[in-house]
Amino acid sequence: MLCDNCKKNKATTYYKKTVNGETTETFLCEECAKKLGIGAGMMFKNGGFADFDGFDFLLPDFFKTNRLDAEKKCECGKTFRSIAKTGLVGCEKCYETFRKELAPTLRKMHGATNHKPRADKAAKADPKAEIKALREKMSKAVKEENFEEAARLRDEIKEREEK
Amino acid sequence: MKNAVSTRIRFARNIAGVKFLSSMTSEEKRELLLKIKDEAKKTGDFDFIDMSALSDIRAGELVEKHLISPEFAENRENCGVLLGKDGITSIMINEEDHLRIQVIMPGLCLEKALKKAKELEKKLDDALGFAYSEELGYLTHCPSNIGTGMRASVMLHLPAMTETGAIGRLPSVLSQNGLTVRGLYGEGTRAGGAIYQISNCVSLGLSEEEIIERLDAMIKKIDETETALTKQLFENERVADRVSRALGTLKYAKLISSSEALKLLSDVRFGAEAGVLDSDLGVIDRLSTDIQPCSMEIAADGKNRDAVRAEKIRNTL
Repeated sequence: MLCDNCKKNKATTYYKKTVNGETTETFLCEECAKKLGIGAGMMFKNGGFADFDGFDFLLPDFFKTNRLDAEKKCECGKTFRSIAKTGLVGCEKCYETFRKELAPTLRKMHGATNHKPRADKAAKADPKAEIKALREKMSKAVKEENFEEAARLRDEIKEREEK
Repeated sequence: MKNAVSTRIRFARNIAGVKFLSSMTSEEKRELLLKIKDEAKKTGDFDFIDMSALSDIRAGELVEKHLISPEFAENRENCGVLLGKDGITSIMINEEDHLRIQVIMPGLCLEKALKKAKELEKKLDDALGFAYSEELGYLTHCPSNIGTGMRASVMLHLPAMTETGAIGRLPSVLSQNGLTVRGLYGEGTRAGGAIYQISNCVSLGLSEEEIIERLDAMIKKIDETETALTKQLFENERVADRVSRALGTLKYAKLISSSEALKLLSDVRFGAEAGVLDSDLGVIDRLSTDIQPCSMEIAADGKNRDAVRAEKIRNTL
């Protein structure tokens, strides 16, 4: 079997990752495994970026299937293409700029797309205002036909209202 | 827990309004380094080390003591580290993120280490103001750290699982729980002396407390397996013989390399875990750190490193 990354050398490393029931399998040669930070008992250096970080040949397809713009630019100067390549964002605003583009990666890495605030940080927030903000987000998600996100928000609102 | 060597909590943090490191110029990085150093020094008793001015050997020593990461020791331009006088806290400046706040303590003590790390993080947050969003939590250079920005890890000595090959099943079990296993010095390093780091790889969507609860539960399961396998292995008297001989060699050797010493110390620790030898675990762990190449090079001060190492081991045991 040939390496999934370079398609040249013999694959010696098998890598399987399951996050929230979603399994990805990869076969790599020694060189590519090293390059991507994978070895016996080790994880991808950049977790879920494995799908396209370093997998340059996959990039065009990825953008096509996800209808994403690789040249979209943040004010810090970083494009989504460069973020996908290095696995590093350029500034804190990148997370807003590339929110949609980064969401699948975050889900793959963490099995989640939203932060659970620390008790001390959450205590400061007003629960009513939070629920209102969540409702707005839910309506927006419905409009964008992002039903998965809308369902998640609905559950979160329900959970918060019951508290 | 006998198999736990140490516990580490690390927070990745960036200053709000300042670009991340890959978007900064050298001058900006240098300026940031000095700013963080000055502010951090006001929050506690720290010694500052300018990494650009540090020798390779000294940087290696810090890696061996787990105070900095191997990547940080390699790319030292415009980097600095603050070492707490308490010997357990360190702050890496300009590693992958502006700050990497770390607490490392002996044994298994996730809650205690988290509390300590949070205290330090809070003081630094008040002074510097970290990048944070309600939705994504702490904003980090790499999305793999976003959310809590926390990496909690426990270093475990797992000789029985290594010997029986049970360790091979660990990665898949761990990844289903948002956890991972790495070698002695973290990402990309090989496990030396049957020592492994178990840590979380999921940092978003769970609170710090939930993450350490998961980790703690998994560590206890691993410990049960290791203890059961240890008991089984020691039913073979050759294993008891091997660990006793290891102690004998360490007690009388005149010259010893770091790799041989680490292997034998791992065997002695194995014997102590099984109750066959009465060596003190803390003493073995300290020795395992102190006899590593860079630390020994400094201690030897030009003399034969292998002789100085053997002498140190003889005197300690």
